[in-house]
Amino acid sequence: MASSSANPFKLGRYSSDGLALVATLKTQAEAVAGALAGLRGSGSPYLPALGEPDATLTDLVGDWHHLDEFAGDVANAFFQANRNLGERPLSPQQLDAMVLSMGDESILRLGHVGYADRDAAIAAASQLTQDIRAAMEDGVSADELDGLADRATRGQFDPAFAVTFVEGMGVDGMGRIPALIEAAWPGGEYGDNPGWGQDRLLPFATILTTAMDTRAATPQIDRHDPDNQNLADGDRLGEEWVREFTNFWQPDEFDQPNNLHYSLLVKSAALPSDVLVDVANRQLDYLLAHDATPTGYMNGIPWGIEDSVAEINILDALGANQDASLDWLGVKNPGDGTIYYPGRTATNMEMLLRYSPNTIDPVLGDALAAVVDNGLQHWDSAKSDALFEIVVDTVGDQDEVHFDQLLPTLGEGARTHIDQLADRTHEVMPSSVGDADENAQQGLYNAHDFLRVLMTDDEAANSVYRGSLEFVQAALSSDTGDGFGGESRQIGGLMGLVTEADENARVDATEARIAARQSFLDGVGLVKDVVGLVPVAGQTASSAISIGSFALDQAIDNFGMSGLEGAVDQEYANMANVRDGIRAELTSATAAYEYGVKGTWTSAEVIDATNAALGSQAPGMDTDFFADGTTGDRRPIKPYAEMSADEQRAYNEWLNSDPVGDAISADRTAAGQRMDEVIDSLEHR
Amino acid sequence: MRPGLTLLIPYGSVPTCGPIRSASNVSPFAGAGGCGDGEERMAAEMPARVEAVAGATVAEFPWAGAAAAVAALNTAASTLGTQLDARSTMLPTIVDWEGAYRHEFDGACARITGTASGLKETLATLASSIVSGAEGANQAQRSHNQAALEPDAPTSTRRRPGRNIPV
Repeated sequence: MASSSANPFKLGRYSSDGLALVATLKTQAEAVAGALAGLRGSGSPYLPALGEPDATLTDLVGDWHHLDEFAGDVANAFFQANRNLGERPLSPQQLDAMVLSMGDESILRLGHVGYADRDAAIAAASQLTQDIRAAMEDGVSADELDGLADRATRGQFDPAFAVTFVEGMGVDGMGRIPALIEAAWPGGEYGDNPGWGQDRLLPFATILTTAMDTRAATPQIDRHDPDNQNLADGDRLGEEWVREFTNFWQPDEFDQPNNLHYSLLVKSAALPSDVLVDVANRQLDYLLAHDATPTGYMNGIPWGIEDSVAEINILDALGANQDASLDWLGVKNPGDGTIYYPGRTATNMEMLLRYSPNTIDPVLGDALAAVVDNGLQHWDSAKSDALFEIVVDTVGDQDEVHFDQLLPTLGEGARTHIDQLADRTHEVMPSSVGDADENAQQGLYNAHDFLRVLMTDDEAANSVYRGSLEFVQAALSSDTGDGFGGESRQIGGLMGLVTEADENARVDATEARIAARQSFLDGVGLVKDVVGLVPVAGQTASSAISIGSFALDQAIDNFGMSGLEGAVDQEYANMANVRDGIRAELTSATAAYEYGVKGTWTSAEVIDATNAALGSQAPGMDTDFFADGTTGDRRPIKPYAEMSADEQRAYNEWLNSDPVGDAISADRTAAGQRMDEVIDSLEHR
Repeated sequence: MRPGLTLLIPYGSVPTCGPIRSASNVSPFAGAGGCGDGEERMAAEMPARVEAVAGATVAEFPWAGAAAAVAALNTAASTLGTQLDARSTMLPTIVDWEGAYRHEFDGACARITGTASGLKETLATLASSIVSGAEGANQAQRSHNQAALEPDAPTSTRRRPGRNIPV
């Protein structure tokens, strides 16, 4: 195998220096072109023939840019193959003397290397276009197809090659390439040559990706090669071509290319997000608007059964692009492609959740779930939050999801957006004075119904409980030291909502479900350990969390069945016991906060109150539940799990003592009251 | 030195593409552009415009556009020359690069360098031609001005023969 050698540092510097020269020359080429354009309008007999040196200069700029990019791509291949190269502390002498070798095939693949000469790239692309068109007319053998695919591979990353090829083929011609590959299938079943078609389609799809990369409109974040940002306008793929591409729609064209061929190309390419949104709008609109059942095209060879459904291929392409998924889910499709549907008033997210075909295909469900997951887990929280509100109201309204595959995804969505569910428990209760607003609690009702749907699935339920524990941790982290009332009220409201939805789902309390409830309670139980751990004057729960949240982090990381030590506690099959547990844990957390954060009592006062509560049982018991070996007025409380039986009993008595009751009654009542209010509101709607 | 031309570009060495192994390793592309003879080139400068006097025919010429074009052409030609020199000094830094891609690079580099060298000449020549055109327009304007300033000329400068007047 042929190989090349170079000093990648020097080659990279050559490239960047060259591109800097090109940038200067490009400005001057534009000045020359502008000036000569002005003169060409003059009718003066004294002006000489101007010729076209401006066009030559512009072309030269493009050629040099292309050549310098080529050198940079080769350098990049060496860096890609030696990823730690930049991290090594090398002396200037070592850098200067370094020469690396690698195979040319690897250079092409890792460096995304094209042609050095732009004219050669354009000529090669034009020739390939002609040869493929001839093959479409005359037929092609598998070997001949391989030859064409190899030539496509050679130029797949070259912008000049890609634009020339794509524009030469046209949208229809690009769509025919998968059909050409079908025609060259060597025979037999798909299983005889799995992936045969996809392998041969890939370089052509990559050419499409590269051509799209040259667009001025392509968002910078989507650009695969940042250097394509600086191409001259004449070297870019035209937007008219892109519009024609996104408008492709030939569902019943048996003579090819049809939507399947198009979708294969889309799936194999990595289109910019704005293009992919338009493609998805066009290709999925009919499906969603008509509750249509997608069907596989008859010819599953050479694509295999999984790639033979056009709509699933489009969804897969969306699923591979998080930004496109987010944007597509949030738009209201104009519905251009839909017969009798002049337009939409619903977002694609709502259309997707209401989509209910006669036949539920789990592969389709997985594809839908991947897109929804992208939207709900996107870092752009403003858009992602808005999508989640749509999800809650839509699922709550229809009281079901049509694809079970969506349930775990929506569960994780609920986990991520658990604060939005908690917010719905804060919304205005019906006024006791005057007319009650019937709609005031609709948000809460939808949240409940949404969660009730999720609670039919153990995996989704686990995510909801886990998200709730994370909410507890976040509530503590935002504490400013002004009391635990606000935090415990928020937690109480959310837990009223979650436990009510769990109860009303009326599904068997499986081990997995009980484990989720138990993990949640165990986690909330750790809160008292955290806030009572380091009782330093002036601290807040958030500062305590930053010091002592390791156990809480672990509880979240090992949530549910995987994190449970020993058997599940069957007590928690009964929701009443779960709620009692939550109340008890919130009480103890509030008491620990009072001691640990607010410093209401000294350690001695805590022991006195405990002994008083124990009364005659105190003598002979170890009632000191503070950390061993500590002294003073502000000793840390020992983690509950590390207390002896005596200490645990003493601790529980302290929680029930009069001083604690007096100090935290307001907060404790507020938390329990909010939980009760939410449950009551949901049970009596 | 011709009027209207000033010294602008000292021509340097010829850019070459390809690994430079030793003095005896002559690049197959040496001389591409054919401008390494130390020749000095001058940038054309626009002459001052001769204004039309009252009543004179105006020689049409796009003075502002031509000045902009000459400046742009001169600057571009100058930059091309500078960049050809710069690139020729950059090439030895990648002498370690060998293999098929280097070979492809050399071929493209030679073609582009040749184009750049020729284009530099073309741009400078066009700038000179536009300057010449401006000078032609001035010359024409002078003629028009002169015609406008002179009184109507007699049909003949010869005196009419007449009595008692010697010819």
